Amino acid sequence: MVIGASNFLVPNATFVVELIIFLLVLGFLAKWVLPYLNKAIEGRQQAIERSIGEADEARRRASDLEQQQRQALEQSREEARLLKDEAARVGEQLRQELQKKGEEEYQRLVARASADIDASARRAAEELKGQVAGLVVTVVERVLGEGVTLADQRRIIDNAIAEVEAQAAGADVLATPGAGRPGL
Amino acid sequence: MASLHLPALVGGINIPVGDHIKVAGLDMDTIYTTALAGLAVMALGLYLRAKVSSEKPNKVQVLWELVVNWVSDQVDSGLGPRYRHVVPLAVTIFVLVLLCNWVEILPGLWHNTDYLPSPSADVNLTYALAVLVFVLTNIASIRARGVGGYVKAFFARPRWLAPIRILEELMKPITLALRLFGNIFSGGIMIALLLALASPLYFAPASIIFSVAWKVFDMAIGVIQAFIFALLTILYYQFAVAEEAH
Repeated sequence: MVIGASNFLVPNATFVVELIIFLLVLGFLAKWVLPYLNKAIEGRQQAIERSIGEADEARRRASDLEQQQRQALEQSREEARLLKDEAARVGEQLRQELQKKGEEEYQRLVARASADIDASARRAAEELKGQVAGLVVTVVERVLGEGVTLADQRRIIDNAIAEVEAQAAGADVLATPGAGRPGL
Repeated sequence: MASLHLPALVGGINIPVGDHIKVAGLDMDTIYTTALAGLAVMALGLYLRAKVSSEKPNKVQVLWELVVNWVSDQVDSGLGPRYRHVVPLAVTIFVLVLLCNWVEILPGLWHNTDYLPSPSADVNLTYALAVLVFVLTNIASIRARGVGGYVKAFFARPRWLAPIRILEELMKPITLALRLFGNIFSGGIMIALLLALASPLYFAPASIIFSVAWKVFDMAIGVIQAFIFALLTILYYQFAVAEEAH
């Protein structure tokens, strides 16, 4: 073993040994180490890409669901608005129908009441007419002291009735003294 | 024997520069430390292979992946996927040179200093790597352009630059080798100097403090130089296969 140096910037046979050592390490790493490492790196990259893909898919699905929810909400609002409009329309229709029916019922009741009143008035008039005729005949017979002929009776009654009717037609006429007296 | 003589104030000793333990004309200390670094790289590689995992990488795998991903990115962006075979070369250069640079941190066995000298401080390792890179890049250039295209690239217009281009190409392996050698070699000398300062006792505390500080700094230099060597390897490949001239 010799310790020594000539020009240390000039290589010697160690150069070849160093080259061989480097090539051995290079071959070892290239064949036995780096392929496994690259495989692991690729595996992780694929896993990351897969995770990113899954995250994108989940995000897309969430976005779709949000969109669907928004559409459902919008649809519900639209349906509620339609129902409200329909309810308002039906309510208005019912109100109009009931109003119409009420008016018709009112008219019917008024007409019936009017007819009843007319009938009652007519009946009262007929009764009054009968009573007046009896009273007139009685009065005439008492004034004349004798019986009257049928024709006279008839004429007197008609005059009396006409007089009564005239009195009934106007309060003013009735209020006038002696105005409603039947002529004899 | 080349040596560095220190003044009497700091011990007056001689620090041997560039001497090696010779056996049959071989620098045995350089071979020993290179083999040690190479074995360490292979052991780390074997450990990685045994524990490699896609799901839960350990710290060693993370460091390997850091290097491989960096080199792969450089190769892909500069050369393209066709030159993926450059990745193992650049990775091996980076890792082996890094450990060769860091081997200095171990205590010495045969050497006449108290540390184990880095094999990168011997031109035999750096020339070997640089010449290999030079040969491979020129082969890649010839394969990419053909022999005619390779020669023509040196004589592209302006033609008067042809000698400079040839000289530049020849200088590449030399500068590549000597850059690494110079940085690590000077780091070793600095350590030897700082340790030599401890010879008079009153310099011992300063010697220890500065030695430790320099060692930490030297390790950072080791990373930077390994990085530069690997990066320049990829760049030389890039220049070699580029469309334009050298």
